[in-house]
Amino acid sequence: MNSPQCQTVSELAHKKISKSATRLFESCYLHYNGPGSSGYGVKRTAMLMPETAMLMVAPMGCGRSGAVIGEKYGFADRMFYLNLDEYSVATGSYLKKMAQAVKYIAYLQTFKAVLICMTCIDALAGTDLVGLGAAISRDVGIPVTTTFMDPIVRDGNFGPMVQVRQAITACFKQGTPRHDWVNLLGCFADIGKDSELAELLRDAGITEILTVAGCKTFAQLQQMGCSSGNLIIHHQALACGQDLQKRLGMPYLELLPQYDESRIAKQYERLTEFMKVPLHYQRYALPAQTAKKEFTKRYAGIRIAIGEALSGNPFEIALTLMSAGVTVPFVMRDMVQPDDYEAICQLAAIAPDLPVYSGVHPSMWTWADSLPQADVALGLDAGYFLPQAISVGWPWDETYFGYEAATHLYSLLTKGISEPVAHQAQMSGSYLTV
Amino acid sequence: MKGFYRYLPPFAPDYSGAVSALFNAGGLVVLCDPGGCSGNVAGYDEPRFYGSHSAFFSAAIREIDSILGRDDKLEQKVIAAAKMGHYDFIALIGTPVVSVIGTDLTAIARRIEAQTGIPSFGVATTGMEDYSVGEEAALLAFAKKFGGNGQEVTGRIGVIGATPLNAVGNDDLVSIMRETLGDKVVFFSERDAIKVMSNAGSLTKIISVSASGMAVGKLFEQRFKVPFEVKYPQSDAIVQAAKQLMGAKKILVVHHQTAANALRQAMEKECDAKVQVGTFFRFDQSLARQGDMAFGGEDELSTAANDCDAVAIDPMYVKALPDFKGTIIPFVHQAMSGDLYQ
Repeated sequence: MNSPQCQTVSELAHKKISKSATRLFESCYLHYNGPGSSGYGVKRTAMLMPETAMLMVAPMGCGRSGAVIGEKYGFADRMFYLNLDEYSVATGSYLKKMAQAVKYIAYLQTFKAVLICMTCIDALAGTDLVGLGAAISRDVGIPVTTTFMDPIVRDGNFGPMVQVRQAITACFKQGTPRHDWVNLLGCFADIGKDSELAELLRDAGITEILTVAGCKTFAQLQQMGCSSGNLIIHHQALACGQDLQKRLGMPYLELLPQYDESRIAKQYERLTEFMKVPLHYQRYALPAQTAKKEFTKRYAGIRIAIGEALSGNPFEIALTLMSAGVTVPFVMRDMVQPDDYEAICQLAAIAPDLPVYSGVHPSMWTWADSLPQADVALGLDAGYFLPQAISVGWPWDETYFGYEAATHLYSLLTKGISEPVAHQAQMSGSYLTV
Repeated sequence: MKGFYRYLPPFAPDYSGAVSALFNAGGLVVLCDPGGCSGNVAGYDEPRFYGSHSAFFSAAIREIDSILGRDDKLEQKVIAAAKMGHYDFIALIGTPVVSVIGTDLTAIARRIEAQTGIPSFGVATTGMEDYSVGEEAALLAFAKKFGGNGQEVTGRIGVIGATPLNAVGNDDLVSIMRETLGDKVVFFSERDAIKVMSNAGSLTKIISVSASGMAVGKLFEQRFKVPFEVKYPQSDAIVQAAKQLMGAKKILVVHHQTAANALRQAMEKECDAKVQVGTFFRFDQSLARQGDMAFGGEDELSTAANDCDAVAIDPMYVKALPDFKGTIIPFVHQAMSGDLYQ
């Protein structure tokens, strides 16, 4: 019987660690972009910028998803489209129209800034979008930031989701330094004022944790440049940290989500070093330990397949859940990140034959019926391939950090198992195009 | 400014129309894109995708392949995928990337056919036109590849364009046409599509539910003398919309031309309202009456609406009528609002 192509964690552990993300399989293959790919895309991320209009300079097809999600998430009124046709692409005439379009948007006096988004066409043509944006901004007198939505480079270190985050942080401005502020970059939602991280940092003299999603005005977004530093919680935001260090001299620390208590403790040690003040994080460990114990008591032996449509490293989550008594039948990862290797090596020691699948490999679609079975699929990408399992999607509109994130992982699973929601219902409106 | 839209978000593009026409036809359909275009199809334009057994893949084209013109890589990927299943045909659908670098999809399809033995063809969509243009191009390429005069569908009626992108609201055009025409009906876009195409000459009649099926209908009419007509069925969605419009004197109906014509026909049975059809999609003069129009932009829509006392239009596009004071009734079109109002 045919089955989807996979690699074991043991095979992955023996591979040479690359400095950048690498595909699970070396051979080239068609991709199955199935209805399990969920999350924030370029347009939704861009529209986290407050008081900002987005101008899509693109063929009709590239703007299409914005039509639907713009309505669904309430930012349709901030989206503008300059549709390209073959003539305008051949002659480049649309480049002149861009300034007119931005002038029109500025004339409405509704927006404080404009984000111009171009696509694969201009990426291939080598359009100097940054230069164009600067010229238009000078001409129209409104801040203009620019990005490419170009999946043609999505395998590299500067894919569309990295670029759009860079376009947002490019708006940060230097001002009077606020040593009591710190930025959290890489999340799609604000972190609560009563969150574990906020409480901990408050003890260290930090009064505000600023996030892009938490800004109500464009001026607030610009003021994020005054913060004392940047905490990066998603690898796609690392380039922003590097940009801001170079441009504004802001230090940064990469703290990718972890769910195991010992690894969380290590992260807090790094944060302690970064903040240069002792952080008494240990007091927050208990709720996470309790949540884990309760989960184990209730669900030990349950089979949970781990997808990659979630916030964190699926291998680290697999390790964490295995330590809670969960059986992990497989993990999904198409682009293996350099940061994955530590967890991969640890997994190789305890479950060397654990299979790793790519959700986009054509064999995954063709022979999905022969995948190892699971009771629960964590991540909507895994959920799509396991229709008989309970599907637990990742809540992108919430941000957790530290032990609180671990506690939340167990409560997410517990709620998902006890109150199952159909996969298709969870996917509605959250389909990720780019 | 031509091409600039404040209110009207983009419609389903041409490649979505091409995929839609071939989606259920039993082939390996490859969208030659980097991944974003296929995301549009899967997430927003192809409601049949979820849980489907149709083979639809992205070519996952990357920058370096485009720059170096690595068409051989595309060939290898398609051939490898073709070996994983049994496909009646292979279709390569164009997108902005392959359009801008001038990839010859027809030539690549020919090479793939030579190596796999599976009939293959290319559809030169660009992502810069609307779905109806792509649907027409795909149907035409499909018909030119397989259209024949076999006798296996003698006495049957062939239906073109029974896809979700052509539907009004939740109309399931395949079911509706089956209910209307009974066992006699066969489809150019369903599992037995190749059989229907290769025996098209023995059909008693061809019906296209959209203007984008006209090119194929006319081709078979001319080649095999099969009678051809264009009409959207009088579905529940049409009847409901007509009821809601009762009492209006001058009405603008906005949808694809054939569906809008069907609503006009339903209205004319019941009252003497003057009904004008407007469309952003393929417009055929032979299906139009005086005053009907192909909109070039949102201003033209707004101007036309302001001259009427009722408008039937997809709810997503109502905001393009800021000055309109009359009655608006929802006339949902998947190619406009996806599944938002389904």
